[in-house]
Amino acid sequence: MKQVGLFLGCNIPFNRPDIEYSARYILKELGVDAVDLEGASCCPAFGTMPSLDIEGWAAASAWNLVLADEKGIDLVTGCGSCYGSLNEAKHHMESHPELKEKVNQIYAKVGKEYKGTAKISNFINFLYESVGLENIKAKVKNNLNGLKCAVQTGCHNLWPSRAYPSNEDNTFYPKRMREICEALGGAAPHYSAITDCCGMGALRSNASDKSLALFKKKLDVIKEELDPDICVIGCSSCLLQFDGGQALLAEQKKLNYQIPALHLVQLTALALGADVDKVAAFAKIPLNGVINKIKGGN
Amino acid sequence: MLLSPNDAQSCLKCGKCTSGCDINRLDPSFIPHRLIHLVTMGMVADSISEYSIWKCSTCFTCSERCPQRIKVTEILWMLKEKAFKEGKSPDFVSKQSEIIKTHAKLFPISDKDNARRQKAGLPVIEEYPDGLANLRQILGDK
Repeated sequence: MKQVGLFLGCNIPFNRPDIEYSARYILKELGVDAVDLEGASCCPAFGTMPSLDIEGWAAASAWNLVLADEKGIDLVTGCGSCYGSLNEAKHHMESHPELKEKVNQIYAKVGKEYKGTAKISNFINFLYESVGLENIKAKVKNNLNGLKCAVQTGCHNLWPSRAYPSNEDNTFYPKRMREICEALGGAAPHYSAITDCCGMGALRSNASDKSLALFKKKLDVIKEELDPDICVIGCSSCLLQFDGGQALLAEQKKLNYQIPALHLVQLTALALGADVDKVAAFAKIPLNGVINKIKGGN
Repeated sequence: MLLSPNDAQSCLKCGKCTSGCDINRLDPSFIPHRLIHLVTMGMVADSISEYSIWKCSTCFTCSERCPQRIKVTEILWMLKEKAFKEGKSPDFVSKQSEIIKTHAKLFPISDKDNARRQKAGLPVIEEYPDGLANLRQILGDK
C-alpha cells in the first residue's frame, strides 16, 4: 500500500477537524496509508514568522521535513499556507546553503539533521497526479450529478511557483481542481476572479473589515458569473473565509445570499461515499441543497 | 534576512505588481511598486515607516507577475523584519510570533479541542508531544 505523511498543520485539527476526517477517509478509500507525524509543528504561515525572523521560520518549518525524512515518506497537506511555507522554506534552504547550514547548526544541539529529501504535496496535486483522475472516477459511489462548483485553488497552492515541485500549466488559469470536480461528476466552469485572493491570512488578523470586503468582491463575482451550487476550496485557510466569512458578512447584513462551501477533500469524501454529518460536521452554511442535488433532487 | 535592497534594483517601475494587487484594488494606499521604488532609491527607512507594508496579504501575485522576477513579497518581508526589529509593527504580529515560539503551533490543541475531535471520530493530538520539546526550546531561545 502506498504511504503518505498527513501534515495537518494548525488550522485543520483545531478549526476544521471535519477536513481531517475527510482526508483520512479518502486516503483509505483510495488505498493510501496515511502516516501521522507525531511532534509536527506549525509550518509557520507567511504572515507570521517569515515576515519577522527568516532563520526561526526555516528552523520551525524544516522540523516537519526532518520528521518526514526520518520516516522515509513524502507529505501531503490540505492547507495552502502549510503547502506554501514548507515548500518555500525548503526552496530557500536549497538556494541559500548558508541558511540550511545555520538551521543544521541549531539542530545539531538536539541531534537532528535537515537533509531535505521529503517532498511536500497538496491534496490538489496529490489527487491529480499521484492518484489520477481515472482512479478517482473508479471509486465514486455518489456521483455529483452535475453539481455546479465554483473552484478556489488558493494563492499559496499556486504561488510562489518557483518553490513548487508540481503545478498548473498556467497558474493564472488553474484547471486541476476543476478536472477533479468533473471526475467526481460535477461541473466546474472557469470564472474571471478564480485566482483572486480571498483575503484570509495576515490581512484577516490585521484588518478584518478589509479582509471580508476583499472576500465579498470575489464572492459577488462567483455569484454573478456562475451562481454555483457550492464553492469548492483547495485550502483550509480559504475555507475558513468562504464558510465562516459568509456567516460574518451575513451577521453584519452585508451579504444577502449564501453559497455552501467545502474543502476539496470533503467534496471528494462525499462522492466516495462518506457520511455528510461527518464530512461537514463543522460547516456553518447548510448543505441541504448540495445533498439533494447529489441524490438527484433539484 | 536573505534579501537586500539590491534585489530590487532591476525594477522597471512598470506597475504590473500594483495593477495585479487585490489589496491595492481594495485600498489604493497600498502601492507595491512605490514601496519597491523607495527601496531601490535607498529609502528603506521611508518605506518601513509606512504602515501599509502590513496590509500585504502575501498572496505572491506581484512576484509572479513581475517581468523582472523581483521577489516583491519577500522584499516586503525584508521591510517587515526590519520594522519589527525597530518596534514598528502592529501588536498582532508579535503576538502570533510569540504563540508560535512558545507552543510551536499557532493553535495548540487543548483537552476541549480533543473532546471535539474524538466526537468527530478523530484521534487525540497531544498538546506537547515529547518530539516537540526540542523545537519549543530552540524557538524559545531565539
